Amino acid sequence: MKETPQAPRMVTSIWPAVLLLAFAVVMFLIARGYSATSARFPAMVAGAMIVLAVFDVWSRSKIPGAQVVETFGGTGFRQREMMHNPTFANQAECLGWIAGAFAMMATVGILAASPIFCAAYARLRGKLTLAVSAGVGIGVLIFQFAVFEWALNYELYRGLFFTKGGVNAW
Amino acid sequence: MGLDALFEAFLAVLNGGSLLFLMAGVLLGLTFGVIPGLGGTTALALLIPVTYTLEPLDAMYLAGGVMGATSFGGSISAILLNTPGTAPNAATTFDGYPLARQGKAGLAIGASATASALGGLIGLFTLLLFIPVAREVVLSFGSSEFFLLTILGLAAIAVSVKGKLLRGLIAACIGLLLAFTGANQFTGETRFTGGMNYLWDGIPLVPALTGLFAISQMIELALKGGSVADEETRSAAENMKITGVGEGILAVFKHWPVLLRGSLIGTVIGAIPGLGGTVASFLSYSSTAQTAKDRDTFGKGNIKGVIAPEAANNAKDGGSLIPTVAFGIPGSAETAVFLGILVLHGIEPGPQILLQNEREIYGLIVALTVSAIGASVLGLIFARFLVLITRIDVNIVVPVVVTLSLTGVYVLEGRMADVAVATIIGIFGYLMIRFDYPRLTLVIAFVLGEIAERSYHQVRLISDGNVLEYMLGRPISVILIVATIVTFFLPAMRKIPWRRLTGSAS
Amino acid sequence: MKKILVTGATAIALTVGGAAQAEFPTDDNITFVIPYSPGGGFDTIVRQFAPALETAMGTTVVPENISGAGGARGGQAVHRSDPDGYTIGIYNIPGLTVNEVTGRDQGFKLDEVTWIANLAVATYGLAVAVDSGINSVEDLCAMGQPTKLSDTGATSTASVTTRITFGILECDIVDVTGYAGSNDAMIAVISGEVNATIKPISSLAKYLDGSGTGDLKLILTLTEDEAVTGVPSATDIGHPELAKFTLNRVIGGPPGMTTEVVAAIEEGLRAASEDPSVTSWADGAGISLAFMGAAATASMMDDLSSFYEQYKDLAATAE
Repeated sequence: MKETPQAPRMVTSIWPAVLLLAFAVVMFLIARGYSATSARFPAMVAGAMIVLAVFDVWSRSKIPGAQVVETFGGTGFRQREMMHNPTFANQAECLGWIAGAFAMMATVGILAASPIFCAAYARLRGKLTLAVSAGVGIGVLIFQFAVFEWALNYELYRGLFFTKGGVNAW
Repeated sequence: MGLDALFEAFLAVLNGGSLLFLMAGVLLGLTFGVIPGLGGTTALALLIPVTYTLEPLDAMYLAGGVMGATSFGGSISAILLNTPGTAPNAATTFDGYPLARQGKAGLAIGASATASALGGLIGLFTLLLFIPVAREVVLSFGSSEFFLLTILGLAAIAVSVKGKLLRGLIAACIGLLLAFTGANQFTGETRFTGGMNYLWDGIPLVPALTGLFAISQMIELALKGGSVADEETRSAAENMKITGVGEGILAVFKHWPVLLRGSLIGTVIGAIPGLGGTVASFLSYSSTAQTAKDRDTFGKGNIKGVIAPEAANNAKDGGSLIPTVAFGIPGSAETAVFLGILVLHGIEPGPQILLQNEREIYGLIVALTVSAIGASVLGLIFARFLVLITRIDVNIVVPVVVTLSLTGVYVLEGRMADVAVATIIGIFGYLMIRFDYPRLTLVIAFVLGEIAERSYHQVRLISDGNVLEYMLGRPISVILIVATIVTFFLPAMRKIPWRRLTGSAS
Repeated sequence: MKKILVTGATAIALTVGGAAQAEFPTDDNITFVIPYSPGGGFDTIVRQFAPALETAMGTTVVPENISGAGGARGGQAVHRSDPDGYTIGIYNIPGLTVNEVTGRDQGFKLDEVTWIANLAVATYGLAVAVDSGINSVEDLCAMGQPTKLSDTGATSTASVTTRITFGILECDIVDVTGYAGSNDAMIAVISGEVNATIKPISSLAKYLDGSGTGDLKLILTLTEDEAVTGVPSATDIGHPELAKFTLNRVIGGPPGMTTEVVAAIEEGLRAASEDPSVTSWADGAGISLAFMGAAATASMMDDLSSFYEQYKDLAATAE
């Protein structure tokens, strides 16, 4: 893995750590509300997470000692998993596509959504040719149908529009 | 009796019809293994209704074929796409994917195929050795040992995250908290469910892992664009052709201690119900990376980082049959489904399973053996074509993998809520990648958390509150405590300049 | 796996609804909902019954696994479907009864379910390790410290049975829950982690002398009469009410099914339960078939509700 000296500001900023700290505090408070046996482990873990998150916040801050925490706690960003730095708009768009895949499966069903999503993604986001996009969609449709519906005789979800019970049936 | 039965089972499998079922299982296993989100458990669960009309033995061949092949299939996507095909292949991505990006995918696949086949064989061989004492082995692993094993696993997390210890631990805490969701086994109280019935049984494992590994990785890949292999390495890869495969096979034999240790770790962890392949391959990887002389090259494309997890991942199938032959209880999700198939055929699995259903058990062992080898041979033959996956435009790879893995999540239990969970956790997983919180530590903690909690409470009740005293009275527990301490302090101890210390002492 | 494709089909189904009932069940498949994953006890009995039921009723029976929420999700699915007889389900009784009594919202009410039949019943036994030196319930309760028993989850039927039984016997226990399965719970007795366990006699059989490995021995059966030679029954120890604890495989349908449809399915299930394929399977797997018709099943369900209502406090779990 290549080493980049500078991680994006967004990644090294204090906010991810603050959000996790808030999450830990909420979980800790909820856990404390359970009976003794049920509360023991969650409260202990959430408590530990609060401490860890405080250190994470500290290492990202300009408070004295941040450098020491970084060295001993291993909070540096020298060996990152994701080296590229997409724009916010690009990320939002991409997450939108994923959420869209789910939404489409939920509404029109898995068998119909799979080829449509694949073809649409390849065409609209990937800017691939119409022929290639359609090919991908058809390929996926054939796979889904052949493996699940035909070979394993398994009926894939048909979507909220075509199933009784609505969301309750999930 | 054992060897005769085994020999007979081998002869029986050569029967035309049986071999057909076995090969069908291998192909299905490979396919389901390669596709992220579709794993061995899903394949077997889907096959249950199909096997209803089959002879029990043919059902065993089919199931064994699937079980033996999925783990190698999953390593292919781990290496080529940085996306584990099945959760246990997660550790393979650490070094397998960097190798692929360096144009050495052939090397990695060759090593993975060989380590898978040999690891599988070692696991099954160990199982055969253990069959006479399987009962004693299972009886000596009680709640105390389960608890300490989970602690050992958690300790291994702490030392395995190089350079991001704090964030690794935070991720582990999240994993534990997710694991505690649902109805508590001791009080019946539901925790963190927000009033949703769906969460009574806890956050389901397969959807969570699919989201965390497959969906999140696809988002990252989509944002990166292009194709998996770098432009500059692509030409290098073309020059290399796939000649690396042979080299990969040799590498496994060269690093035989890694193979052996991985296989043994896999067998042991496989024998512990509930831990499974993800923990086995992770522990194998981290122990190899920790003790190797060239540990700095791990994570950058060290072939040993492929051999270790893959050997463990396949050996765990043999191990997971130890509790099965001893008491008819499952050692893994796959063996649980396999026992379900037996139940469906009117066979009630129990402690006498090996006496009463020798044919089926040995049939399964043979099927696993043939499958482990068969899948690897097939994989090697097709390796050169498989590598082409890395050259496919991500705009095709991403939507296809996303839809297929979400479909896989659905078909396991037929619940759309699972698909929603996979999507949400997938987006969360991407944020973890983006903000550099390691996902694997979350997963290991998630898998271990529930077992850790319930076995701790069991020990507390069994020992009348004298937990430590009780543990120290059990030899295996003591060994595990020592192993945990060593694991935890090994990295620190390495930093101490021993030579200088001993020098000044003498 | 069958899901109903609606659109035009529903309209047609609705208009011919009246006629369809008259000739039930010829115009569609019967979906048989199993609220657990494939391969378990509930799945198996349904899949064993399905072919015989098909023969008896002359229509295809499709087992469908709808697992989740401890069996509640499958029950909800049946509850939501049309009461036309084409969707029926198997219910975990008294597991759901106990949940309801202890105030857990399962998304449907048991007294709204149309009860059709009871297929099988399992009775419980109390077992200890064969070399434990414990020979009776008195021995078990006079150890000088609370007796330890093993179970899967605190809300499992066996665990509830254990707590209520020992409550009635006024014997101090610690129920160590959290074992992965009932086999694991029995192994904990063999390995000496706990002193005893209450499990269905058919499950214990594989560890008993004669029928199994001989690691465990029965010291009590929760039955009215002697169920196993030489082992005292609930009546023998002066607590016949303990025989109320059974594990039933009950068949039901959505609220509001007509008596004709119920009777048709009831007859189909009765015939299936006498089918040689089903009886020989039950013999081999140690399942006690105990067919009960719709009326008897419904009154049993009422009985069970009031029985568990009595022991509500013991059934409730939080420590």
